[in-house]
Amino acid sequence: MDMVTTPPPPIGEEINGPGRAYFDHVVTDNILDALIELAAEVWTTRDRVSVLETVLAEQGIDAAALVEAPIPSPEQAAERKARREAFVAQIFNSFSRRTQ
Amino acid sequence: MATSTLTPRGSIGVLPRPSKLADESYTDFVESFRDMALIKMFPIMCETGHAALSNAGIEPTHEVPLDTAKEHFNRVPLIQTWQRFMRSAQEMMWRRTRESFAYDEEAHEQLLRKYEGKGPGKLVYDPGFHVPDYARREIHLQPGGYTDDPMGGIVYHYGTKIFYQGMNDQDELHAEVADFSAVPADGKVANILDIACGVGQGTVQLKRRFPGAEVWGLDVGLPVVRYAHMRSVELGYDVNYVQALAEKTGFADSQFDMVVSYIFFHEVPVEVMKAVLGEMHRILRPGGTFSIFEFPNHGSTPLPPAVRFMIDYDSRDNCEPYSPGFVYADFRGLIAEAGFEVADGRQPTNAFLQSIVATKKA
Ligand SMILES: C[S@@+](CC[C@H](N)C(=O)[O-])C[C@H]1O[C@@H](n2cnc3c(N)ncnc32)[C@H](O)[C@@H]1O
Repeated sequence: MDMVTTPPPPIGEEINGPGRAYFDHVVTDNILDALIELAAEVWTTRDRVSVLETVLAEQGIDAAALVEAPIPSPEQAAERKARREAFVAQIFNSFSRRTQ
Repeated sequence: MATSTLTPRGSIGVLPRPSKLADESYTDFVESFRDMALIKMFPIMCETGHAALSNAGIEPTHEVPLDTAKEHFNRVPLIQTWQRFMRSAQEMMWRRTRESFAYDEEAHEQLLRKYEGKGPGKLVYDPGFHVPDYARREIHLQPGGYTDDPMGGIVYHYGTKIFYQGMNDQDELHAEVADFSAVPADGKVANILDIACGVGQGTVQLKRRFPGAEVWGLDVGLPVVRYAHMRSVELGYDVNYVQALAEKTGFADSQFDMVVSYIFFHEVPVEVMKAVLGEMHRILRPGGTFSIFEFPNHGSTPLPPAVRFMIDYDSRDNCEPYSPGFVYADFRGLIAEAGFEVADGRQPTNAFLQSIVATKKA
């Protein structure tokens, strides 16, 4: 009955080896992996912000309200724009890198 | 608080805490992500797989050969995605868990060494012990498996938190396993053995229930029993651990009144399973009980293609090399062949588990 005869990879090779692919084109696997990692990072950051706000609130600082107030100076706005563009590039570079 | 020495962030009850908030958030995410794949996507996967067979003019009955089912299932985008999600979640979970707890491997090693000489309870192992090749597998993709990563104990402990989907954060299932284990008819319980005890979560619960008994935990993995011992000392339980094979325990004939195993048999080859049953029969005294809590096995019961697909996937892609052998074996028949009387045990809350009591005839 339905026995699996292929041996598992040697010790050290399961998560550190070449990995598995499930789609006809491995790029689909890669994109999904990147998407899950990205989602994990977004959650991790969100969680950190919320913990940070809680900690600050315990110190009497209402960070959640305070962050809504400031209007950035032109310099600050430019700096944030540059960081945002670097972030976008970091994630989406691969889509323009391979042209064929 | 127990296990508080293990990481800079202490513990949550009996569970060690990842060394950084970011690791905890990340693994929490993986837990929720995996839940989505299992709870929400899995039933849809079964439906779409069966629909794919029907569309190809094949009735999705238990008679469809596995290879035919796989050929059609593997072309369904949702099923490809499901496999990707499950595999990626499992890899992410182990990678980050290990990274978080191995932030100072040398310090962890020192700590394990320090506890080796401490009681209550002792740790027994022979540095020359030979781990058989079949046991050196990265089951569930855990890096280094139970046997080859010195950090394997704590990594397994936190890693399984994600597997349990929040149902066992404080060893609730292990407490139930201990509480539901069968007491011999004459009520005498002086010696108890927990085989394949892992990090001793069930072992300490047995001691809680039977404080007057001598309790042993046995496992093939040195990293897991070392961690189990350290944890038991921290929790204040007088239990002993030994690195040994369940099929060759080294204990005396009729030494134990009760033996317990929890999700063990599906992780060994059928030949080893038979040898373990024989060994348990030898070390139990007449009238002694062997309580077995295990994943389901179906013997020769016909199964729908989606279930067989899932078993095959789990075996190949979640490194459960021996589970199909277990699932399709006549488990109860083999227990009876080893000389036991076989009966149903008390059913744990987790309805997925089967519970069997094997009693050595008096
Ligand atoms: C899924 S774990 C279950 C552990 C434990 N019962 C728990 O509650 O977490 C399976 C365990 O079986 C152990 N194991 C595998 N083969 C063994 C053998 N032949 N003898 C003893 N232990 C074995 C592994 O090292 C691992 O710790």
